[in-house]
Amino acid sequence: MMQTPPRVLVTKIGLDGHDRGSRLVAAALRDAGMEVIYTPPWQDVEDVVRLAQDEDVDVVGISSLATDHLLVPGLMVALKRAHLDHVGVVVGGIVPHDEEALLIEAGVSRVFHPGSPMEEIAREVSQLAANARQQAPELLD
Amino acid sequence: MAKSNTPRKLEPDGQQDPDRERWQRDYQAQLPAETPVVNRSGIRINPLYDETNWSGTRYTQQLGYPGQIPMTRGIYPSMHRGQTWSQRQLIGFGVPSDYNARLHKLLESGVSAVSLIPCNSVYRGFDADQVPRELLGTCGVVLNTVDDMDACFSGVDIAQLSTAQNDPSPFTLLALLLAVAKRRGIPWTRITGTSNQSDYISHYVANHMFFRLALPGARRMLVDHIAFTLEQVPGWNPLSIVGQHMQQAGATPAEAMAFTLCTAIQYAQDCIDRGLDPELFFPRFTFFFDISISLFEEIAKFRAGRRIWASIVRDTFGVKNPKAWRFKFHAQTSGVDLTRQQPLNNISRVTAQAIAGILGGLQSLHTDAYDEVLCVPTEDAARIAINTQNILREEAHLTDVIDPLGGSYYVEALTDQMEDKIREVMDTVESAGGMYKAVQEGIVQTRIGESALGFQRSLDTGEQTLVGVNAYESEGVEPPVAVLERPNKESVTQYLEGLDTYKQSRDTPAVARTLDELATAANSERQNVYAAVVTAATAGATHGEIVARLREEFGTGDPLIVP
Amino acid sequence: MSSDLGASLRRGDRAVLARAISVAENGGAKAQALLERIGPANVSHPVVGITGTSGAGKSTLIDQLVAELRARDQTVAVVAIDPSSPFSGGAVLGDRCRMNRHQADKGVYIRSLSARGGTGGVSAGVDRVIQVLQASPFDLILVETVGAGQSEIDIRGIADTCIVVCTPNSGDDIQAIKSGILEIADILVANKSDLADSNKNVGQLIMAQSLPSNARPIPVLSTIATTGEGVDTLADRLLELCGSERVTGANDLRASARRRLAGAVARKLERHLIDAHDDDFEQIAASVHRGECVIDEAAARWVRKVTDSG
Repeated sequence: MMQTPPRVLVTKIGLDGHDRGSRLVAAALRDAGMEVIYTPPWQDVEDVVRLAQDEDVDVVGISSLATDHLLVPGLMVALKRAHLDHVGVVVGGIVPHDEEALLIEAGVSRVFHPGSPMEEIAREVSQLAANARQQAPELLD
Repeated sequence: MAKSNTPRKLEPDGQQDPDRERWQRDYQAQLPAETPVVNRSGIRINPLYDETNWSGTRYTQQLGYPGQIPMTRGIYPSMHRGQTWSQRQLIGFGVPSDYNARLHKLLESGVSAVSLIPCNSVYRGFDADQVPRELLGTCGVVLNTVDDMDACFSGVDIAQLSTAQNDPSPFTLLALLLAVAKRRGIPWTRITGTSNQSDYISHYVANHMFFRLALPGARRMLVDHIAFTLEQVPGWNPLSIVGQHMQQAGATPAEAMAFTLCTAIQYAQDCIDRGLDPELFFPRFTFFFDISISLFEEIAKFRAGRRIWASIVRDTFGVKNPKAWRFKFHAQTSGVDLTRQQPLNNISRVTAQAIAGILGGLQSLHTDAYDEVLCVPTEDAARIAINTQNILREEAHLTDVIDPLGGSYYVEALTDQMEDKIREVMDTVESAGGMYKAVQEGIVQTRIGESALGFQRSLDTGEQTLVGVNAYESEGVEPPVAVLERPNKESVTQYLEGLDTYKQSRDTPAVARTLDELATAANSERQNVYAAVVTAATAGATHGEIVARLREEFGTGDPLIVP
Repeated sequence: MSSDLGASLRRGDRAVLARAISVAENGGAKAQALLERIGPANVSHPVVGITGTSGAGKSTLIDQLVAELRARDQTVAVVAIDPSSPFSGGAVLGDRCRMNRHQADKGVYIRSLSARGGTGGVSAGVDRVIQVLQASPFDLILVETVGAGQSEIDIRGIADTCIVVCTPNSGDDIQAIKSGILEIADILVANKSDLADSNKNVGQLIMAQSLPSNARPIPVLSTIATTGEGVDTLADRLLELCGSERVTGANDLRASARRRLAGAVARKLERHLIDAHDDDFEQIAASVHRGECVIDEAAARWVRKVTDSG
């Protein structure tokens, strides 16, 4: 178990603005003891990178109800470029099967589909956060 | 009429019926420790309804006849027995030529009313060259210029076709359509249809993607749009007030109805303040609702909403025109109730939802395709969705009798209770100073968020069953692999090139001048901003340019997000 | 990561800043080591506390204030604190939703913190976080409290300058006056002055100022955070106050340091007391419970005991 609560960014990229799902997931992660940084939709890839860095999060959760998950491979590259490879990335929402494979290939840890139990989401995010903390560069050497 | 309906039995405060007492005892004996049944709006549901809950003595006062006050039974004398409802399915994908091909297919099948769903880049107020190209045309048609609109309706007589456009403020799509009409020499008086997404408050609160201009600008824009169309495009419905977004975002059915009615009141007041004639604008108001699977609750929601609206327009606003009292609504079956697990089950869900909407007296219906939770609907799934409506109408005979549940003890009692609940929520909005102020304060957003959370908890705990998700799960039954429909990459590239050429080959000074005039109009109380939008579109300005210019003057719309 | 942590921070390395804040917030030996490595805080970067009732519009006001300060070439760090769930310890940190437009601005750093069970509207680690921020190149540090309404006085022990935000016509405001929240204010802001009876609210605030315990003259400003109205004046007054603290130098700065030290001691003591299984303390608590003595008297008795034994 981690000593301090996992920090998770829950956000949306691209153009769609439906945020019921992301709000519910944010509440579920809070109820599982995590600190959730919540943003409005329509973040650019660069915004997400900056948020992940400024807020020093362990996990980024992207909610995608339309086709905005198509931007996630680009996000993975940008995170890496910003030396944020340790941050875990999950995607939740409506992601067709073959595109799920593309996301996983790009480095996304997990895609959650509608109807995924909140408990399961919280459990996996928490695990990812613990991994991220281990892999994060140490500030005080 | 009411007198001949005097109940045979006694009213609740009178003497108890011995048979009824016996039934109560027997019921208690069979179910001594029953968990209370509560609907989504928070109304406790009895095991049985009888004359103690509703009696025919209030027939005239509460029901009346179809097309008459209090409108509970329907807004037209013949309702579905005469004209059933418009079957509107959403279309919009790829580039204008894709839309046009799909449209011709639909027209061959005999439809006379179509929808136009633009790409999400359009919703956000951008031209195609301003967004990541991976996203173009994936959720709707990319449409930025008068040429694009012309291409969408190529080979189609737009004077014969009613279009429902998903066209948020500042209503650039209608402006482009009017520009096409001008180009084709068709008078605007012959253009018919609806601005489907004109309700900016619902975008500020719930469907944030559509919210383009800051609140005061959006407010001004809507009233100008209504004023303009009333005068210039009289066959156009400039306003559809959308309860659907709020219910999709988590509002209970009663809350969604209440917030929608409060929004309508706000818009009506704004129109009156602007000096528009209520006798003229009220008949042009239409509504758009979500239909959840909570069948009786939805039926009661629609019946109660119809009654409240008639009384608001007639009694509160004092409008004499009976057409204005009609609560005309389109409804869409709720995607929130659909599941990815065992998706064919969604056909049953959509059927139940559609029954609720039909028995609730809708004027127009969209049934969701069963695969909507997996992908953009496939053609097969879309056909089943349409046939669900045909089956309900022509095989199940749902339309033989007007308001067939009228007089049911349960449905009437529930309609009364829903009305109370709706009015209660409306009171909270009114005491906050009306809908505009309430949403600025986040009161509505907070309440919707709480309701969404409450519903999610009921799913998490299993209190509310969701077949295939928290009950009756089938091990090993994987969701089918969805068929991906993504726009052709080459046509997107061609589109972008075409847009570039368009921008270079038009009368640039004229475009610049009309955009400047648009800015001037936005800053002048005396001019109609929407007229300036139409002029700019006609001169060749693109959708994105018009929105950008108005964002400079009015401010960009940032919806209030209450996490 | 870097042996010259202080230099990285002073240079404005955001990655280092963000990680350092986490380490500082989390406390313990690592936080101590970090703060020692960074060295003394640069107190010439004033800390501005922004507090007020829940729903007073603090986040929106900060959004506008940041825009106004940026227009005057001031760089700004914002620490936005949200309440934590008493059940899970988790939190949804959503204040930055209303400050979204500053995201791409390099001259603005926004950090969301959870109160992590802190009762005074700020989190236990916030003073350490501020030390880290004071080592970075931001001209001003704004701290937004959770806005629980009743227990915001802690901010006084953290900030050099306090802005208290109220809204018209809410019962909360009267409550706030009673609980003394207004007495910690250097500037009172009557936000949402477009709402009805706004004058009454300003009146209430002025009335609060005439309370005998409050001798300082406190400016009362009206704003409409949603439109930005009045925020320019607020920025003027704020910069004036911060500037005066800086030029008047030693005395005021020492007063500020003293306040902050007192705040830190108070928070430490509180934690200590809550954890205490000290027999004397338990005894005194028991006698309060039995109604044998009033709380003030009991507290005085315990303090006497502690100081005498020291």
